[in-house]
Amino acid sequence: MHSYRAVLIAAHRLMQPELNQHHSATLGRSNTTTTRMFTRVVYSLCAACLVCGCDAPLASFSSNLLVANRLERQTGLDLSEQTEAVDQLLEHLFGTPESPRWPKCLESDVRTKSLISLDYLAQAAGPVRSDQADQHFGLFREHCVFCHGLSGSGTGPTSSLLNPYPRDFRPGVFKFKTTGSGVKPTKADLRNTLVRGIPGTSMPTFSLLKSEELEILTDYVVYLAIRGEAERRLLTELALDMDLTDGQPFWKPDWESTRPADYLAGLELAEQITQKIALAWAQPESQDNLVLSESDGIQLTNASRELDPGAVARGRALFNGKIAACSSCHGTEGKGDGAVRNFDFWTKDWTDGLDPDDREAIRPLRKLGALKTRPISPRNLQLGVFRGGSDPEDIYLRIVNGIDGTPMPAAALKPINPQGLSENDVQDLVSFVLSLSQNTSLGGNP
Amino acid sequence: MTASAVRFQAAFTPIVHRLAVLLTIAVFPLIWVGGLVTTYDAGMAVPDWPGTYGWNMFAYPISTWLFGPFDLLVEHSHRLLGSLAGFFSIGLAMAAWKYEERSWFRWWCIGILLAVVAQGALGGARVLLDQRTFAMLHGCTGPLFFALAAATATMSSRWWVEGAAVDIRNSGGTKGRLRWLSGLILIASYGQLVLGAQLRHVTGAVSHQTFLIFVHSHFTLAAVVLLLAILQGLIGSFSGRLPTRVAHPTKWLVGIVFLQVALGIGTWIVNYALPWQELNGWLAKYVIVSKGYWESMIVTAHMATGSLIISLATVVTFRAWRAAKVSNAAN
Repeated sequence: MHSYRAVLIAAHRLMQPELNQHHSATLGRSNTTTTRMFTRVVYSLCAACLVCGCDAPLASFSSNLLVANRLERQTGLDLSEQTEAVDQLLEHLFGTPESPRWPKCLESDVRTKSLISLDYLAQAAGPVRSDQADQHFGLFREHCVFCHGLSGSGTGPTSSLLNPYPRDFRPGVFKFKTTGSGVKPTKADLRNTLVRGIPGTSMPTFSLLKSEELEILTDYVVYLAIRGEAERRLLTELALDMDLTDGQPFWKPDWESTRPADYLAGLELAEQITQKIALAWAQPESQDNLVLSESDGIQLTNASRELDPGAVARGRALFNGKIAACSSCHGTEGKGDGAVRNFDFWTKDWTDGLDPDDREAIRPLRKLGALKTRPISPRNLQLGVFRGGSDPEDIYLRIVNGIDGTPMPAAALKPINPQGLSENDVQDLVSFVLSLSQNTSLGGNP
Repeated sequence: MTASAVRFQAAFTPIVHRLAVLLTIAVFPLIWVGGLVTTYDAGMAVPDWPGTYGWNMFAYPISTWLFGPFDLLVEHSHRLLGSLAGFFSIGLAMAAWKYEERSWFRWWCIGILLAVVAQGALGGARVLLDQRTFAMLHGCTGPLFFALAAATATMSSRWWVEGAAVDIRNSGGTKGRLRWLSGLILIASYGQLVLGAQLRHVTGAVSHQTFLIFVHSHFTLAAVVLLLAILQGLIGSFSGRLPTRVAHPTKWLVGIVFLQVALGIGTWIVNYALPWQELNGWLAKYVIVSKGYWESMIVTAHMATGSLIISLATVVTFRAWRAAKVSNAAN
C-alpha cells in the first residue's frame, strides 16, 4: 500500500494551490501552460493508479508487529526502535525478498550448510518470469504469496477470505508431518503437503509442478520459517532479557565502523539464535518407521482390507474412554461436536493476555494486520476426509504425534507412560476412526 | 414524416463492415488468450518486446512456439493474435478512409487503429518494465477495445445505415428505458471488470483488508449487474415488439450475465474452495489443483465472459439508441 500512499500524497500536493504557485513562480510565466499540462498528466496518472493500483514495492519483508505488540503488552516497553533494528539485522543475515541470502553462520556450519540450496533460494524469490527452457523464477510469488504473504506471515491479500487461514510459517510450527510433537517437519513432509494439497481447504495440490519446483518451494518455506522464527526469538530475547530502558536500538548497520563492539554483539546474538533454529530444522527425526504397512506386521485390517469389527469395538471403547479421551473434543460419535471453544496456537500467540472473542480488545491488533479471530473446530471424523491425509498411516501419526499448533495432543504411549496407549490400542483407534465414515476406502487418498 | 422516409447520410459499405466484424471476432480469442496469460502468470514468459527472444515476432520458430513451454505458447500466441487484430484495424482504417462516406466514421476507424496501437504498446510496457500495474491496465483496456470493435461493427452494419427504419416500422419501436438500462449495464459491467482485474493482478504488497474491499465491491456490483440484466430481460419481454436487432442481443446479454454469475461462483470455488466444505464427505474431499486445466479454464472464462458482456451491452446500447433516434426522426 506504499504506492497508494505515495500517489495520494502526490495528488494532495497537486491539489494544494500554494505548492503549485511556488513551482509556477520558479519555472516562470512562460512555463505555466506546460506545468499545467504536466499537472494534468500527473493527475490522470494518479487517477489511473488509484483506480487500477500500482506495483507497490516488494523490497523488504514485513515486520512481525503482532509479536512485537504482544511483547510490548507483556513488558510495557516501546519496541518500535528494536523492531526496526531487528528488521535491519535480519536483512543483513537473510537478505530481501528480491535477493534472499542464507546466513553466513549457517553456510559455515556443515550441519546447516546443505539445509537449503542457494540456487533454489534465488529461483524461488523475486518477480515471476520464465524462460524458453521452461525454467520458472519467482516461484513463491507465482504460487504462494497471495495467501501466505511475502514474509510467510499467512496474511497475504486473499487470507481473510480463507477458512482455515493460510499457515503463518514464521513460528516454525507445522501441522501435518511425520515427526514428533513439537519437532520441526522434514522437508519431505512439507513437500508432501504441497503435492497432496489439503482437502476441503484453499490449499491446492501443486502436483502439476515439476519435482524440482516443489523442492524449490519447500526450501523457500524452510528459509522463511527460519527467518521468521529468528525474528520472533530475537524480539523476545530483546524484550525479556535485555536492558532496553534507554530506548536506543540494540543494533544498527552503520555501527560496523562507529561502534564495532556493539555491532558484533548484536550480530552474534542473532547468529546464535539463527543457528539454534536451523539446527532444529536440520535434524528432525522422521517417524517414518511408524508408518503402518501390512509387511511391518501392523495390521489395521484383515486380508480383504475390511475393518476388523473387534478392533473397531475396542477402538470405540478407547475413543470414549478416559485415557485417549478423544470424545471430549470429537464427540462420542466423532462428529467434532464435543469440544469447548478453543483457538489454535497461531491465534493464541498474538492474542496472549487478551480475550480472542473481545472485538474491542482485538481491534488495535487488527489494524496491525491481524486476521479476525476464529475458533478452531475438532475434525468431524464422520466425513472420512482428513486434512493431513486419510490413509490409516496418516491417522496413526496424527494420534501418536498430535497436531502441532492445535489442541489435538499427542497420545500418551506405553512404555514411556505406563497408563498410556499401546501400539495395538492406537491401531484399534485408527480402525474405529476409519469405521466412522462407512464409505471410506482404506488406503485411498481423498 | 414516415420512418422509411428518414434521410440517411451514407450508403452501406460492405468491406468496412466485414473488416469490422472480422476485427471483433479476432479480438475475442485475443482476450481469451490474454486471460490465460494472466491465469498462468505467463506475462514474463517472453522477456523482450516487440521481438520474441531476439527473433522477429513473426519469424519465431514454430516448433518452440507450439511445442515449447506452455507459458511461452500462451504469451507468444497472445502477441500474434494481437498483431492479427492490428492488421484488421489497419485494413479497417484504410477501407474506411477510401470507401466510407461518413467523415466522422472514417475518423472513428482511425481512432480504432490508434487504440490497437496503444493497447499493444501498453502490453509491451508491461513486459519491458515488468510491471503488473501495466498488465492490469492492459487487461482493463483490452475489453474496452473489444467493445469499440463491436461498436464499429454495429455502426458499419447495413441495419445501422439502411435497415433500422424498416426494423422499427415492423416493430413497436424501442423503449427509452431499454437504452438507458443497457447503458447502465455497460458501465456497471465495466466497473466489474476493473474490480476483477484488481483481484486477478494482485501482488503480495496488497493488504488483506484492501483485497477484501475489492472482493466485496465485486460481489456488490455483480448483484447490481444481475438485477439490471433481469430488469432488462423483463422490459425486453413485456414491452411489446422490439426491433429485432435490439431484441436478439438483449436476450443474449441477459443469458450471458446469468452464465457469468455461474462462472463467478465457479471461480470462487476453484480459487478459494467450497464455502461449506464440511457439509458432507464429498464436498470435504475437494482439493483445488493449482493451475489445473479446469481451474484455469473457469477463471479465464469468467474474465472473457465479462468482456463479452461489455461488448454485447455496447451493441445493445448502440442499437437501442440508433433505433430510438430513427424512431424519433420518423415521428
